[in-house]
Amino acid sequence: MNELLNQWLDARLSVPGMLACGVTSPNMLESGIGAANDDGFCRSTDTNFPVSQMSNVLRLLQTAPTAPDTQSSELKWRTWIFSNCKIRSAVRADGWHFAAVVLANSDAAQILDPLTEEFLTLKAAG
Amino acid sequence: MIHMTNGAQHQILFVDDDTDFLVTLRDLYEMMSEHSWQIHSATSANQALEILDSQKVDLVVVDVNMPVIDGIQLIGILQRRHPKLKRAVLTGLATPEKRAASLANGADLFIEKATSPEGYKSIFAMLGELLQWAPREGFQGVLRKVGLQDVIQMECLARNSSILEVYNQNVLGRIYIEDGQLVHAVAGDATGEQALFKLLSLPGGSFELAQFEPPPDKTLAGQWEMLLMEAARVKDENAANGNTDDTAADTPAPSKTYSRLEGTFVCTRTGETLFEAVGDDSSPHLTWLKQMEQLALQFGEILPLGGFDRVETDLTDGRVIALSRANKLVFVRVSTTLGSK
Repeated sequence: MNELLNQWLDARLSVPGMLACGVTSPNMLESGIGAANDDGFCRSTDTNFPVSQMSNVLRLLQTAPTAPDTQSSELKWRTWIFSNCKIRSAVRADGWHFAAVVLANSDAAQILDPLTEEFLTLKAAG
Repeated sequence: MIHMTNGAQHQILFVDDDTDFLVTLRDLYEMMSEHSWQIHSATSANQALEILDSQKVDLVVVDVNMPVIDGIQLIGILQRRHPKLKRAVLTGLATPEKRAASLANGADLFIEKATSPEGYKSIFAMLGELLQWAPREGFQGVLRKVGLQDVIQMECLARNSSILEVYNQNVLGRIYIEDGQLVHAVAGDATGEQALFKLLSLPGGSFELAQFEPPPDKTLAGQWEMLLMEAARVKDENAANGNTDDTAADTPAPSKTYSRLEGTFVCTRTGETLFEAVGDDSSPHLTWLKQMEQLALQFGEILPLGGFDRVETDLTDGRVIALSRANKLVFVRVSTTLGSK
């Protein structure tokens, strides 16, 4: 799964407007992740959005509380909208967590939904 | 062409590069007003500004097509330099574009030049009405400085009734708010949600909050919170599609997915509840809103993301939105279904 996600993430980096992205495994350590280790990996295309900071964002995203009145509903994804950027985060049924920071009004922002669907439905080779 | 004040009740300045037209108007309207109007004339914008600097004038009537500085530009200058002055545009070539541009630049009236004596009587009557207009209640704003959504939220939260007149160089529209609910919107040929989304997608322009009058039709239904959320979504989609020009939001209102508002909670940053429709206990909503905003602020400290606007939580059967505004936090829970209503 790790390798598959690695390749998938690399391929998505070239979408115009993709600033940084990363995935974490279900057993990610509290210390966070770097460019790559067993618990996940991050990528960056912009020096203002370094891998180390993206790792911190990923860790914080996992602490987001469940919205009230949604206990009976299934979460698809969350989108944090800022004036310059959007952060999309989603968690697979197997626990892998994906997050991407994209430039608002960019190609990447436009394809966030299909991109996230791809992540959620990726199948491990073995 | 400056005439000394002779004790007339109203001082009116006509600006037109057609000297014969100015003389005719002066003679006609001074006579029709029984000399209660004193007509001043200027053949250029510069001359008009000199007159306005030298004496009190109640109303300026400007032709559009003039050399160097045209009438629409002059109206804009007058709005800044003489904001209390009443302003009208009188043109021989009236088009919707000129009308919108004139109103956007601050004209109170946009009139087409008459081609008959009866027409000039009508113009006289309209200018007379304008002279009688009292300053409007409410306020004016510029969309770049004060968000239209914010004004609508304030009006709706206060359960006010008002008409929001919105205009820029290409669009003229109205949003009717009655007892705190959005009841009607019109923008050009569009009405209802399409008009509302179009107006809320404008990248800039001006608006006035006018006294409420019953709308000619009621084209909007549902909770204002949901309509604003949908408008924000449509605006985002238009922006993502590079569709940011003034007429871009002709996007039809979404029609395949039907939404129902399940809960709304609005509070101040200090936790004071402003509006609550989330069941018996709103404390989880307040706590959640604060937690989400806190997280957003942490993200903003880590990365250069810009100002925080909202978090959208997409569910398989709906959406929850945590909205951050200058002094308010808003929780909205919407359920969605596909197919017919």
